[in-house]
Amino acid sequence: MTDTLLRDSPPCPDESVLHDLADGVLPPAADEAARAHLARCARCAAMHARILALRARARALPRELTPPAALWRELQPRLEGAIVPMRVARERWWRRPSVLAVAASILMVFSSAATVLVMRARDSTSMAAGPFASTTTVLQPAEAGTLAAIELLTRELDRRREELSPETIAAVERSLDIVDQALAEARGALARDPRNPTLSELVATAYRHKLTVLRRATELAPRS
Amino acid sequence: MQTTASPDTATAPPPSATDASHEDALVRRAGAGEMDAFAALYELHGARVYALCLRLTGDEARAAELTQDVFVRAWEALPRFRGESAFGSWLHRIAVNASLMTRRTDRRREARVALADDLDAGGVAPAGSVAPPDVESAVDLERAIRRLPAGARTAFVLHEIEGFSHEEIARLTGTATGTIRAQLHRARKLLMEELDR
Repeated sequence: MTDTLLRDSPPCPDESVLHDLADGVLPPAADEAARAHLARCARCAAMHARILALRARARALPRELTPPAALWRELQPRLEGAIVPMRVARERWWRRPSVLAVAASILMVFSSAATVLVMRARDSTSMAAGPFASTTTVLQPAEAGTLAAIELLTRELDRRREELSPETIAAVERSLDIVDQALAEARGALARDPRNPTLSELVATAYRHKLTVLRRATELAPRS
Repeated sequence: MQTTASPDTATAPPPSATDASHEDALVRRAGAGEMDAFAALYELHGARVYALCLRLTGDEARAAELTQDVFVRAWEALPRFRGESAFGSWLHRIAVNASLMTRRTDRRREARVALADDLDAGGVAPAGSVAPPDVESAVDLERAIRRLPAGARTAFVLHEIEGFSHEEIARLTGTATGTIRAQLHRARKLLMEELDR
């Protein structure tokens, strides 16, 4: 009878089947077949029991192991020394009062210059050539400040590039392309018609847009 | 190696609201640059991170170095931590990634100097292991885990101790799920042989 049972039983499954059974990853039919085999085969049943026992033993291991006492002492200088300046650089630095003040003054200078530019351009239409005939001499210092702010934000964006998804980077670059194109057109038009207040306003607006796009891009959350 | 109280996830009580809000406050303060708060977070999580690093590297000196790296990365990244997951889970993910990255770097370095050692060759303790063969004393599971080849050890530690699924480990390590299963089975086989001696 026993001989008949053994002769009719399917052969022992590969050992990996017993591991998968212990892990609960076998499909239902295979799971059922494996369990049926274990009921008949003492050798496989013992192997399966050993796997389960090892799993239980592993899961009972402590999840915490006390690190060497010196670890924090060695770690702290790394945090306080080399890393802290990096950390400051990586903070939402545009929200720091000092940076906000610089950014505000850059924008104020630029806005004031743009306003002066606009007013002088307006004046020039009624006064013809006066002491402020050259608008570019007024625009240049403010533009230099704005360009400095743009460069600062562009560097920050470049630094964070790896943290952002390729889709986000592509969207930011598309936005910057659009703003740059508008800026180039406005500046070109202003160069041809330097006393035109509307064109001056357009250039100022394009710069503000560029600063806004860059500032928002640097505020984006890193990809998860 | 000392062990602290066992926080087996199956039996450990969940953190109370008070614990969670205390930790949240520490995270906020540490994110604002307060070293004392970060030190408190290290006290809370250092042993958990160290255990993971030690089990994945199999080397105490390397694990200590890696634990430092994990906390340095966390310190740098804390200002951007938005609390979308628990701080402990976030830190744990950094530790797993750092450990696996170290393993990849080590493998590249070993390949460069053309070491003949194949980490996946059976039953040989990886280079730098602090677990010398100790035939005179009983081999406990921790020691046996440390002596596993690197791939098998990673699969075993992440699956059996850390509770990751085969698929999650495959994603983390950039390996096929079938390979992870094979590494896990091999780890169990080697451990059973070692523990039966």
